[in-house]
Amino acid sequence: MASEALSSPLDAVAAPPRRRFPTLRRLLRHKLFLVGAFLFSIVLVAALFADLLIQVDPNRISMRHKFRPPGSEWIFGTDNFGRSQWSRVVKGAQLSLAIGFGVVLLNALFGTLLGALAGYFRALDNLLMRIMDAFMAFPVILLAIGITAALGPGSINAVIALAAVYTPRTARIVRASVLVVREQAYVEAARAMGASNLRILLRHVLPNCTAPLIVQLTFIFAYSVLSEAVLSFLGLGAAPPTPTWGNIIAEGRLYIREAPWITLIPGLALAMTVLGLNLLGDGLRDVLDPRLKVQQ
Amino acid sequence: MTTSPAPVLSVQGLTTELRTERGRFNAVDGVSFDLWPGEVLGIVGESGCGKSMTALSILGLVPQPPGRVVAGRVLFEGRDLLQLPERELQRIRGAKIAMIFQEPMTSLNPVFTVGEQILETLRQHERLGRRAARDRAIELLAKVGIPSPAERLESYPHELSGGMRQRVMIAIALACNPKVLLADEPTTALDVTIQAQILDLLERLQAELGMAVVLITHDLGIVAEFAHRVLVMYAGRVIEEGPVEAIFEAPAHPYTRGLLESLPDPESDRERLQVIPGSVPQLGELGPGCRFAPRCALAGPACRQADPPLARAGARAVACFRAELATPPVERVA
Repeated sequence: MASEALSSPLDAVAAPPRRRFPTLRRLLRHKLFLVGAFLFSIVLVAALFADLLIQVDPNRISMRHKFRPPGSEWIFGTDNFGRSQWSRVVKGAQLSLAIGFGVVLLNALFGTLLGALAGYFRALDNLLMRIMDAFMAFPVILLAIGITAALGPGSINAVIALAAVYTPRTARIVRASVLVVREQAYVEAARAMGASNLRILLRHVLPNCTAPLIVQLTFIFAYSVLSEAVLSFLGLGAAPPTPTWGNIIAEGRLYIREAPWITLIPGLALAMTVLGLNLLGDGLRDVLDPRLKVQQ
Repeated sequence: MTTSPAPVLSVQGLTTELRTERGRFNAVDGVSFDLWPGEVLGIVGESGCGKSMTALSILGLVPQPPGRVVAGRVLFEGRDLLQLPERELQRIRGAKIAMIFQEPMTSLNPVFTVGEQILETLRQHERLGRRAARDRAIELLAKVGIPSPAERLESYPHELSGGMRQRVMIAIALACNPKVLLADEPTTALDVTIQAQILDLLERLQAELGMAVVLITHDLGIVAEFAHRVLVMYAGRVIEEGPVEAIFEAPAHPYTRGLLESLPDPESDRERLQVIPGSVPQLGELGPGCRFAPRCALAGPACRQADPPLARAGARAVACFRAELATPPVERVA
């Protein structure tokens, strides 16, 4: 009868002391995640504050200073036109991250949309996923080259091409999570309480699919930075003299024996970015993986 | 049982088909019953007898595929729920007919707080301001016996015990004062002590709100304690129906008798429990006769030829050709 009497000690074991941001805490204890965060934040800071960090215009040619090795005068040396490598690499970081971010944004949008539709509305599944499969049948770079060739070179087109290339992977991952989540008891419960399909999808299914999506997007970020460098190396990204890492490496490759720093430094920057993002992604996966989530 | 002119919910000839790789069969086969206002109707039976499928069919929640309601009517407030478009059904689900499920551990969305989930249901069905909805949610949590309800609104499901979560589920189900509550094994996943608390709570709320409850369970003890009337299902069919006392005192169907005898009896000094020999038939492999015949000690030739219809006598009904034989205590084949 009395409801107060009902809440026995057994029942009241309810809430353990509330920890704030448990996920963040576990991330901060993950060593590789921290290494990744450190590497990536170097690049991020360079990109965000590029204009403060460079004193010399990245495109200012000074033939008197060409092929200067890295040193006290020129931190990263100069290239075959005497342009400051420091300015060019830092500016390149800005462009690379902007492109990577653009790809991630478009990719998240379309990947989630397609994956959610395919996973939730089973009638669409076959149609959508077979189209995705067709996209995935092409090698990534080849497809990206094809799309940029069709659209014309340029950074915006590179973003579009890379987003199109990576969207099927994200769609697959989202679809897989949606397939799992849509069978959960709370989805059935929500439907029993009168929730519509749209509400179930937006409120109940997608919020529970974010963990694998975040991990995937981190990797997509890394891939697109790398692929963008490849595209611009091949002359399909931003047109030279725009300083992208791919452009710098492409120009420097002719002088790789005499002035190896021209290719080495943007190459290292690229490697650091990709390594940092991959470590971030691995850390996120370890922490967000539902199978590891049980133990707090 | 309340004597009221009209039932709140009337299920007539409900038939739900399941298609599997081994063919199609009726998981719910011509189930009919009336639910009266303020009544607690127990539906009992073994796993897979169609109890839960019946509840899901009523609300149009049968997963499709593989399931499909192929026949019958579910009358509620003068309308046949089976004919209603999805939009209309959504307005009834949760608002007028609510349902609670077996798994309190997973029936709440892990990424939202308890409060957000109660508010969601409330605001879906009723026009309420932020303030009013919040007050209502706190009131609901208090009503289901959750201590310090205002603080609990901010809790995430993983911070609550199973019993607490089931209370929250009940609070959500009751949010809009439903006329009918379908409780599908509401206590099966809980500890015995918590089970009793949840049942007490349901009983109290049922009396307080005057709603009708369909209690689906395989636990006869729960039915005996809580239900007014009981429906026994076997292999998709209702095989016996009647007031709880009458059925527990004098079960008419051999299956019901078997179920009752398989309960542990503390007074008896028998070492082993009685069991019903055999197991529930695969629904795809039913013969023409009574579905229970292969396991029935009383089955005669007639039982193997035709399926007995549900025969009514007053408040009771039974589907058995040998019902008279089954009533008095008879010797059992071990």
